Amino acid sequence: MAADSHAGESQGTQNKRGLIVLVILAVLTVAEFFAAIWFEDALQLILLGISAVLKALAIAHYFMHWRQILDHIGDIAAGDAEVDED
Amino acid sequence: MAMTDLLHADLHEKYGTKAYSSLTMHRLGLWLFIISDAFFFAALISSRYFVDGTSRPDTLIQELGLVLTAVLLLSSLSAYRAEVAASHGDTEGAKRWILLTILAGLVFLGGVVFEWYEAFHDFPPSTGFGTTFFTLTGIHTTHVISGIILLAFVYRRAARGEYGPDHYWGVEGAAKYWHFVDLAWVFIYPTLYLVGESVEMGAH
Repeated sequence: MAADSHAGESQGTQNKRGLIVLVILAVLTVAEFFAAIWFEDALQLILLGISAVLKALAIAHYFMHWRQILDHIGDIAAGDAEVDED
Repeated sequence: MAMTDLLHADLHEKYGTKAYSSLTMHRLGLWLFIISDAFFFAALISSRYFVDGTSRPDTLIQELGLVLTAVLLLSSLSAYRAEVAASHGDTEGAKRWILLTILAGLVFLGGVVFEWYEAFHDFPPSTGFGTTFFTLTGIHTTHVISGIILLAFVYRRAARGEYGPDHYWGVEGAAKYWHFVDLAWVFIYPTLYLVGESVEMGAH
């Protein structure tokens, strides 16, 4: 069965994790702002691309719990998914 | 027996299909929507490079883009906290964080309105960059507006006490949608505000 991403952890622990993710996102955002000023052409494009992908991965993983849906699909494929009883 | 139950029972008998839990189906449905919407944004973002290369007008306010990004990132944290609070049965906390997310969304909208007011003079939609700028920010803004409406509905339901630690899909779904709005902006922001070199671009 797909695990609930909020199960088994205290609210404080999860809030702390959210704050850490926000700090990482903020650092990357500031870094890309200066990367756009300091670098040009291909290098600038590559750095901005890497930063955007890293930020997207952090949001998808920690905030959107994208693995949850893979678990659901895996459960359905394996025949272990939760089924409505009524 | 309800029509849908009859259909499920019939399908199960004929084809061996299962009626998976509504939470599983809700999550699958939302992710399918998010993935399809992501392709839409990807097409729009790539069009920016086809239409206007990597140049951007020197009148574009990069600092405003940075502030808008900061507001959206903060709103993502508040949406996350709302979901966490709801999952722990903390309805008051969930309501508080949903409200903060809505407020952050409104601040973002205010910033976009200001940006549009300036942009109409500096690089109107008739210019190459203006076309992509107004299309991208316009489509994204409609997502922000729909997210705010969705969050307002969820807030109302939370205020009625309709969510608990075992049933908080409304909060989870709205938060996931809001994170997607943030995720789309993560790519729109560098595409419009950072990539390339600024060039002098008068109104045509």
